[in-house]
Amino acid sequence: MDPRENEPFDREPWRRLLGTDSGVPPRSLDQRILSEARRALTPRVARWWLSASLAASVLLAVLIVQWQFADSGAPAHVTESDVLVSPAPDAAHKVAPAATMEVPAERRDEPHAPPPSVSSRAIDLSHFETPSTPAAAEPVPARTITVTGQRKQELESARERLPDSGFAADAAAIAPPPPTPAPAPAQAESSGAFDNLLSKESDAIPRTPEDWYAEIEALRAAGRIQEADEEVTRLEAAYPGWLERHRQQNP
Amino acid sequence: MEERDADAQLMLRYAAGDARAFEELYERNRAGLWRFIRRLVRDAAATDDVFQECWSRVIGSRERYRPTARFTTWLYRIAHNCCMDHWRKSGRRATHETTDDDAIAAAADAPASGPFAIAVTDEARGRLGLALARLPDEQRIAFLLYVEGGLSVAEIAEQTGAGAETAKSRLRYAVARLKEALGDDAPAE
Repeated sequence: MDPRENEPFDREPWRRLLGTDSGVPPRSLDQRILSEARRALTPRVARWWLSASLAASVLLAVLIVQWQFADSGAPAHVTESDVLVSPAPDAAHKVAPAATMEVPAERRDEPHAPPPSVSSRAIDLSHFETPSTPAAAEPVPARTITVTGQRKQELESARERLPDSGFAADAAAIAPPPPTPAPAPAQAESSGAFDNLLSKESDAIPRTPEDWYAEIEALRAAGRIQEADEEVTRLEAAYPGWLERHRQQNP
Repeated sequence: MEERDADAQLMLRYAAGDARAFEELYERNRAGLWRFIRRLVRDAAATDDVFQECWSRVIGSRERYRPTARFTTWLYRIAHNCCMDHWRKSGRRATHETTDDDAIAAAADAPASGPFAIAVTDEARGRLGLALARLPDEQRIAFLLYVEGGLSVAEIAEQTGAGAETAKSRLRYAVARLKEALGDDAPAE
C-alpha cells in the first residue's frame, strides 16, 4: 500500500485538537492497575505442599479403608482340621479322606499353644503339619487352608451344630490345633461328614524341621520352657525320628 | 518509531520481571488510551472498567507478548476488543449512528482548557466532541484508532476486520464530518 494511502492525513493536528480534555484515569484506578501489575510479577508461592498434603490424606484414607476391610475379611490360615460340616452328605466325597483330619478326643481339651509367628491379620499355621497317612514315615508338606472371615463364621456355626464332634469347643479358635497323629479309622469315616472342607490352599511355605527346631530353641531362650516342650512333642509327632537324628548330628 | 520501540522494550522488560518498566509503560500510554476508551465508550464508570480490563489483559499477556508489531498497535487492539466486549455485554449495538443524550453529554462535558498551545476555541473543541460522538461507531473507531492509537490504515483494517479500502473510506468520511462540524476551526490538510 502506498504510504500516502496508509497515512491519509496528519494525525497530530487532530490529536492536539482533541487534546487531553477527556481527562485522565483517576489516581485510584492507576493504583489498582499498577498494583495488579506488581502482583502479577510476584512469584507464586510454591504450592507443592498443598498437593503433597492432599496426596498424603488420600493415601491415609485408602490405608484406613483397606485396614478396615482387612479387619472384617482378612484371610486366616487354618489347618485341615478346621473343617465344616456339610448339610449335604453326598458332597462329602468331594474332599479326599487324606485331607480331612480330626483332632483326637484326648487333644481337644488341650490348650492350644500360641502360634510361633502370628501376623497382625492372619494366623499362619503352616508349620502345624499333619501327616496325611498313618504310615507316613517321612515328613509331608504341610497343607494350609485359607478361609475368609465369612468362612470362619460358617465354620463356627457348623461346629455349633455338631456338639458331639468335639469341635464346638474349638469353634472360635483360629489358632491351630495341635499336631495330630494319624486319625483312627472310625474318625476317618466320620470325617466324611465334614464335606465342606475349605479347598483353597494357600501358598504358605511349609516349615522345615530345622526352622521349627530353631523356633523351639528361641522359645527356650525366651524362658518359655513349657511351650518349647510342647513344640518338641509336636515336632516329634510331625517328623518322627528327626529330632533324634538331629541331636546325634549336633550333640 | 523509536518511541514505539521503547514501549515494546518496556513491555519486554516487564515480562522479564521488571515492575518499574510497567510503571513507565503505563505512564506513557495511560492518557491516550484513556481518551480513546472514553471517546468510544462515553460512559465514565464503563470507561474505568474497560480501561482496567484492558490493562489487565496486557498484564496477563505479558509472557506471550512478542514485539512483532508496534506496542501501541497491540495495546489499542486490546482496547478495541475490550470496548467491543463491553458493548456486547451491555447489549449496545455498534452499528448505529450515535445520537443518544449520554454520548453527547459525555462529549460535551470535557474541560475547556487543554495543555497544548494551539489556537482552538472552547467552542470548537465542544463542537468536535459532539461531532465525534455523533459519528457512526465504525467511523469513530477508525478515526480514534488512527489519531489516538497511531494505527495505520492497514492496521485499522486488520483490527476491525474490514478491508483496507473500507477502513480508508471510514476514515475519510469521519474526517469529512468532523471538518464540517468544525468549519474554519478544522485542521488543515
